[in-house]
Amino acid sequence: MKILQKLKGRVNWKSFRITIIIVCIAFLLGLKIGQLMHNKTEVRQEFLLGTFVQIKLFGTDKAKLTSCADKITEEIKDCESKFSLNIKNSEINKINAGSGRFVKISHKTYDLLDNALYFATITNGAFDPTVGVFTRLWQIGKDTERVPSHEEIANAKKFTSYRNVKLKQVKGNYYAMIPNNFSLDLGAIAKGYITDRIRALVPRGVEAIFDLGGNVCVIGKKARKIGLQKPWAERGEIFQKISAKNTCVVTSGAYERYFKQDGKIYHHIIDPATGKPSEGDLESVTIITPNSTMADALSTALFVMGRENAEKFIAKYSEQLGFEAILKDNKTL
Amino acid sequence: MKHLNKKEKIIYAILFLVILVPFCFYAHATFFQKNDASRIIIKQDGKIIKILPLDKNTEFIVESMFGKNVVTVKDGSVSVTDADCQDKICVKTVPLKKDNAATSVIVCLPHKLIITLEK
Repeated sequence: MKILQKLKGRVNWKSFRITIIIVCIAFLLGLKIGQLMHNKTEVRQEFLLGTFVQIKLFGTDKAKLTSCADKITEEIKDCESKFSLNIKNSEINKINAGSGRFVKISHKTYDLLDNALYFATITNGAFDPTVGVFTRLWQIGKDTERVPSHEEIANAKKFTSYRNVKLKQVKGNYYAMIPNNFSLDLGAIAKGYITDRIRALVPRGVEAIFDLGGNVCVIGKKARKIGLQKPWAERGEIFQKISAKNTCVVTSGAYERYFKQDGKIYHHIIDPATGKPSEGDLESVTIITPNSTMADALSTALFVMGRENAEKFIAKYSEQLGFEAILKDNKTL
Repeated sequence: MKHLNKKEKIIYAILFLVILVPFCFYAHATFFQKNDASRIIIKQDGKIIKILPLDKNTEFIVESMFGKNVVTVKDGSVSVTDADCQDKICVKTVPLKKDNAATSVIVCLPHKLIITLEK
């Protein structure tokens, strides 16, 4: 009020101007502080890796979020171009066509294969990157899906074993080799590995949720709820909610992709030991761990193992590797 | 600057208010976001092909080179009621409503179709 009174009388223009300037600066400052505190979101939804990929980034700097999302999409596309079986010139297809010779590959592909062999070894082949011969026979999820004959499967069995995959490093170059007629299929680990790669691209101060076709990863201080899909129910119907913070959640289940023939369900998770869709007693396996590559490989492996062997594996490795598992069969609620 | 001293209290009060007003504006937007997702965004192959209001019952048929999906809006929820894709996962997806809009999405992978709810 004093200012007003003073204004009515003798206006002190100098102090008036200073006041106005200070008020303006303060207003802008307040606006900026508010803006900085205001959370912004960047969402990308794309069809990549033969699945639906969703990237959500949260932060206060919109430009940072956009450039981060661009980098992530680029990285996914680059990985896809190297790992995909559906891309003719991918490095995995080159190894498959290498017929017993060492093929030069990038460090990325080498690292993925190295991880795959590690998880194949500790799961004793329940996860196996050489199931390519079987997935090629069954073609599950494609228009050409079918039930192969016993002879076909018996023949294909001769050409699978992760033990025959050879990797080598020479003078900073990377090579991989599989025997003639063998075929790599990294479908059960690649999405997890790619998730780990794109995690590394998230800058400080940005929180994120990634969903690469069911490989979910939550980054940041905030805990977020993740619903676990109820097997064979409507998509989005969940049987359990878990709270995830800075971790990855991957679920494998027969219900995800399958076809029916003569009343029998043939699903997409092939047991490397039989060459047929796994006939374990589990309906889904969820693995929770910050290492998405591990989550992806182990969810498949434990599903193939079945409850008894999966529980043995969990008892032996869960502490050492740092993962949690949720095994769901039709008896558990 | 000496002559300002008399008005210090008032100026500080004004400063405080002036900072507070825009701050509150944003704080309100951040912390009290209303759940008002009411537009249905239908995207195919990366492009928005249709935007529908959630509060009007209607049926929208998506026909493209990929195939056909029937999008039905009924009583504040949207779902795909029919499709000629192979896996029919879009049809078997829980309908989108205001309360699951933040986390849910309907996807038809073979037809590259995405349905979400937005503000």
